[in-house]
Amino acid sequence: MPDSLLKSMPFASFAKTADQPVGCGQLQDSWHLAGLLRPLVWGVMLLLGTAGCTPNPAVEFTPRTSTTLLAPNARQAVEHTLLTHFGTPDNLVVWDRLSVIDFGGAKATVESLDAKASSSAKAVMLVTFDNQSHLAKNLRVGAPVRWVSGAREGIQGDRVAAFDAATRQVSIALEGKTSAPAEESQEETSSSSKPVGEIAAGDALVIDDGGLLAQGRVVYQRNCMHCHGSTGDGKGPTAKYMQPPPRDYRDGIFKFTSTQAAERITRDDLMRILDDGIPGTYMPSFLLMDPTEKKAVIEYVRWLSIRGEMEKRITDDLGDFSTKDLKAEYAQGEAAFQAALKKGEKAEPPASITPAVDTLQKDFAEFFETDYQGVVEDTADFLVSAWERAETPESVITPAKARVPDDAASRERGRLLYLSDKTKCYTCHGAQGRGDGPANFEYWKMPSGDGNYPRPGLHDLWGNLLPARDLTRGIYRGGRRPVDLYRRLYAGIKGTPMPAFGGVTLTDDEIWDLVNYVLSVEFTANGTSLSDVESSIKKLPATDKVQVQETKAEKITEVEPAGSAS
Amino acid sequence: MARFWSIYFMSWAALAVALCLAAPSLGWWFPDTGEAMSSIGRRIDGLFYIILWITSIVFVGTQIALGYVLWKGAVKPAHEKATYSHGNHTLEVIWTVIPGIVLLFIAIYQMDVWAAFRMRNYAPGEIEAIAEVTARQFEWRIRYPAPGKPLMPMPQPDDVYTVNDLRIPVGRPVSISLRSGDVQHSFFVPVLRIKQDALPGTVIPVWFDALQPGSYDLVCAELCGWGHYKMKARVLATSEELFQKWKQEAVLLQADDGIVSTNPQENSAGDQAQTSNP
Repeated sequence: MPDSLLKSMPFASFAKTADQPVGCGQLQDSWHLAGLLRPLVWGVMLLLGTAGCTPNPAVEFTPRTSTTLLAPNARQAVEHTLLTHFGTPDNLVVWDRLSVIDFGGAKATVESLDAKASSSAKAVMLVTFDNQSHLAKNLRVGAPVRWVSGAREGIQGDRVAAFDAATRQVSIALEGKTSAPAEESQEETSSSSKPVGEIAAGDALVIDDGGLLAQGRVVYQRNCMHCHGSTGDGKGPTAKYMQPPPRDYRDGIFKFTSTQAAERITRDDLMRILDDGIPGTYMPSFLLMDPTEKKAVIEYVRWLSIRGEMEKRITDDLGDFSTKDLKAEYAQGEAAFQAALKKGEKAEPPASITPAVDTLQKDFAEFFETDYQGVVEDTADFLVSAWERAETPESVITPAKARVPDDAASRERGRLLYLSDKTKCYTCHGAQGRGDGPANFEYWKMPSGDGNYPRPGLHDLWGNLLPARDLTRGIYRGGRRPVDLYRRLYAGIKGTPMPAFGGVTLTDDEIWDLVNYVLSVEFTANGTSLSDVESSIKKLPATDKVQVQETKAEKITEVEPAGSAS
Repeated sequence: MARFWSIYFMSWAALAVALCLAAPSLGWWFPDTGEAMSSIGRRIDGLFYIILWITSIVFVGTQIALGYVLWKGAVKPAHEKATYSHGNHTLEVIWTVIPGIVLLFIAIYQMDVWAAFRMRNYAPGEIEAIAEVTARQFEWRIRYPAPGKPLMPMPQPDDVYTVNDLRIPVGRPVSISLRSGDVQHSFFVPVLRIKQDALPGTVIPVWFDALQPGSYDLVCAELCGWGHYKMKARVLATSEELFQKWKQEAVLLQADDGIVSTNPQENSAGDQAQTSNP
């Protein structure tokens, strides 16, 4: 055993003292002390090191599986795109294209430069703020400054050195350097920054750019990351203990929204989820969190979601350069080869996939030159417009008619709709709303086209088993207000088999009848008279008849209560 | 050197006493003003202070005695031997009987507060519960009866729901039905000096009152899982009128069908109540 290794081991000093011949007094003394201290220090370090359960997860954005399966150079391109436009958790990038994200920061214009107080290292100036944002009142010293126009545009690293809110006088430390050192202008840039004189009145700047996003990141890492993961993939360290699993919002899909079926989630929806939590899941309420922190973390979650969807869409567009099939084929061949070897049969190992991957790489190199930038631009355009549209009033579902009075007749109409083939509610939620419909026991096809799911039952978009909601429990994950249920029925639940009934299948009145019925299920089922249940079962065939007659007569809105009720 | 050790040991006792004296001004004391905000809480504090005084006197007394013995032993000439004695009957009776009397005093004296809290003032279930508080991993879900109705054991169609936000009227005793949705939790409002475990499968009536309007922290005091620390909620005590007004507004908000504009946003009712009752 080499000496150095021996020394670095606990209790090694004991071995040393035992082996060492006595004689050299001073050395002996120091060894003696070390012999006492070392095991102690090691013991404490061992205790500290192993206390807790698992090491902290790395704070980083991890790529999707589909991205890792791309040809190496395609994967590199995607990761580079994400890195330049979104950065890393430790170094967030403000991407101007994402106008739908409030990155924070105070936009300002230079009013006048105080030439006397300024030097080559510091510029003192009066500024006008574009709007009276809260940041303008308490700009923090050290906040980064980004120049939008003027001579210092493109220079990064300038910071606020002092700020007086009353006089709007800002002092900026000119520590910045040009971000891209161009070779021909090396002489100029090598002197780190341009002289202060080049700042002129009218120059636009953003102070504390990305401040809100950075604050959101801090709040997110503290409160959300351990379930939803740094990337927002729902794979944080505590996620494995949870049923249902935490949301993976890299697809840009959230379940409980107020928007139309095809639209993204709004800020208000996210705020509502933060305040109320999601009953029946592990998402707790953050009602008492500081409002600015809530705002910041919502912005960060939207940003993460856009980042995730950007990656998904680009990777999907580059599907031609995926090595998924090649690798699967190779794995199959390898397995067959190994099986043959075991049996002692003659077999040939599968052909290497390297040439095929090389071809893919070559193809992608061509694609990169011509089309790749276009894919990125198109994806960004698409996402910006999608998230912008979500915030418009048109995308929010507002019932055209007020709620139908919640009386026995309305509930009965709702019940008949529930049991009808028009809605087929019962196939998933069960005839009595117990979430035990036959669909929960059937095998379903995977959307990826790889055959059936291994387990019977409904699945959501994320591949998790998702039993239909038991309506008798009175737990409404998306909120229990009538309007919440209306929206669930109108637009469905995104990412799940719950379909959208609004506009086409059901009229407003019908949706309200269903809402009234669904809200009553909890009480009729628990309060319970068995005879109620029995009678509803007896009525089942009759119900279908009524429905058929109605559809023939094209008279959907009015169901004769006499036909089935009382 | 012997003197050093007697001073050394005494200095720790002195430091402990000094820190205890300084604790309230350093913020190492009861939360907020340090004063309990419920009537029973003030009586519990009274008990606490009596016991604190008794133990302080005993602690200081024994430390002084110990210091005296150490110091005397330290200044004794080295050749002088210690006297050996085997027991002193009188002394043993004294140091057994006096603490016995003190303990008996505490045991009897506290009974009144205990009886007031548990039986005499309000027997369990004597006050009509204003809300059902269900602790679950990791939040407090609260169910109120509709205005003018009593709380029923099972959910009713017109119940009002909040989460992490328990509203109570100020100045009168109120009761909650405490339940757990999953594991053991503990309903703990430090400023009101109220703490009660929530047990799965049982409904526990808990009564308390708030003497002044305000927002009091409600936390979980039973390690209930990895998200235990997230169970932060508030008890918002407002005047009876504001409480009733809030309930009416909450009923409207909960019946929101997206058409009839119940304009004030979800939280504004609470914020108003909060600002008018700082």
